[in-house]
Amino acid sequence: MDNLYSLTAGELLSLLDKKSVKPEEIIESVYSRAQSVDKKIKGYIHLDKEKALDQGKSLPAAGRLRGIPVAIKDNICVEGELTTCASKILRGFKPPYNATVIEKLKSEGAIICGRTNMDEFAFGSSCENSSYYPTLNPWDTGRIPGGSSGGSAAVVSADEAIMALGSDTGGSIRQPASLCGVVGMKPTYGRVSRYGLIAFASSLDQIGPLTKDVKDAALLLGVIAGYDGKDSTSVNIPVPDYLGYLKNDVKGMKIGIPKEYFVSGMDKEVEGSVKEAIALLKGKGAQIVDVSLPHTEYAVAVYYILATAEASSNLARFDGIQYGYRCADPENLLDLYERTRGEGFGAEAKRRIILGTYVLSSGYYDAYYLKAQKVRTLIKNDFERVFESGCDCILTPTSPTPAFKIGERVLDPLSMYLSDIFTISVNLAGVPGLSIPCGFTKNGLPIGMQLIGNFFKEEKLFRIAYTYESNTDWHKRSPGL
Amino acid sequence: MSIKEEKVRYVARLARIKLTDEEVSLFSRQLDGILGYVDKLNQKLGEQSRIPPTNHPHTASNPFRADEVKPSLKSEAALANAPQKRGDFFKVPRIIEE
Repeated sequence: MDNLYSLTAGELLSLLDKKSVKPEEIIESVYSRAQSVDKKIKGYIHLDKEKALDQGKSLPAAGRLRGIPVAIKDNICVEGELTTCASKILRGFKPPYNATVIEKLKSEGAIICGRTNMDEFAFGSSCENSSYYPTLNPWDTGRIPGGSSGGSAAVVSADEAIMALGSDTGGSIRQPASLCGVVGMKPTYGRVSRYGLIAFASSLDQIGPLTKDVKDAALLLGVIAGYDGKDSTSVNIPVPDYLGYLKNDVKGMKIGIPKEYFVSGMDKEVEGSVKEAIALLKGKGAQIVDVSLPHTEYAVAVYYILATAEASSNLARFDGIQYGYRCADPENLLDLYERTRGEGFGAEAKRRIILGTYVLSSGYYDAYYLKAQKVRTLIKNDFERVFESGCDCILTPTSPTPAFKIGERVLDPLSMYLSDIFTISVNLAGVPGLSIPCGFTKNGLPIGMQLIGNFFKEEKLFRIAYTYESNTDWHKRSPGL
Repeated sequence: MSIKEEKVRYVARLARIKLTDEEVSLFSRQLDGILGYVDKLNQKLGEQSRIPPTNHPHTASNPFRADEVKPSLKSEAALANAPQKRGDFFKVPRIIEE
């Protein structure tokens, strides 16, 4: 038999059904794998094997994820376990409650196997903004894994976890999934409860799965999705049986190709792989049509106004009073606030809080914040128009380039922001997006494509992705570690 | 619009963040670049006075729930992460000047 750590959740669950493996064998296998490779990858921040084995002792017999080790991004609250957003300001913080997604995972028997590294407070696209250490790309450890859910993508890619949760505000699940060669999905805004997700930008954040294949993504989303009275922005629409939509058949499905996402100057290997994927789906009977999302060029600008404005407000709570870091010997309350935050936040967090405060400040609100909200409407309208014209999905590259080198964009925040150029609009509109491996560069770096769906139509994305995956074997490759 | 060092200091004060002189100078340059980029909204798109702003992906209506008493966090749990506490309270520097 293959090493257990290299299998998918779907494969492991059928072995568990046949009683040919025990949950503790899976946990042992995943932990010994993590022990041997995480020195090179540094995808985890906290790992606790004894707690994982304890969780494995009493599993619900019919749990949809019984015995499956799931890694959790460090910004999702787990009761009594360190949850730090990879920030110094939250060092030592142990939440007094579970996020709703954690309750759901536990009630289905999942094993919370460790906490994954991220850009501090999810601010970044490379995992270099972690206050602990950068995570490295399993396919080339001289390169970044993407971000901000870079740890989650890297540990799934390196077989150090069977599946993982991340969060996505502007591409933070899809971009690292693409750069690490795994499947990642940002669900429709409101599909998954944000209760217990430490907020970055509340009108954009969603929690979603990072997995080894499409079936596992459908399985994991099915577990975490659903209305939650504790999140007033979660939407009360029944959760479909996503697994039931996994058919190798796209006949008659209409796929839109937006011209704004295939511009001159984009990476030739990325463009080539995505165009081959389009041809494959066409060969399987999908109808390919040209579409336009005319306000695409404004998305990054809109995003960095709205997301930083929301972040500056959300991060006001980290003030050294109720939890986390507090500066030594404050002279007075103002000094306590200013030094706690000056010493506790990393450079990118400070930069974003200052930008967000600036665009909300008196005299600039109309020119930046209100203007950005209006252009957000135009971007959302673009998507609505395409889906009203009958498209089942929109297909684009996930990232304009494969994984870039460590340090390459650190000194130029704008170049880092532009690495999310294909994923950001999806959060602004609120629609779902999925990234799936669709090839490799000559140097062996993964390339991903993005499928964008209409509101609450994740099942269509799973269907198209499953068909593509069933006719390719990119997802079966693994990095030689 | 550009952002001068003085402005960065002012905004940092609003945001209650103490910056070093190096940070002020670095952020001033970097934010200048970022604001130059986002200014294309103002340069390329007109007033857009008839476009309604979007602050949330779904048309939000205020959700209400029944006003029922439910268990909430115990004070020991709420205080467990406090950097400094005394008894049932968070401890902070004196707020009212003598």
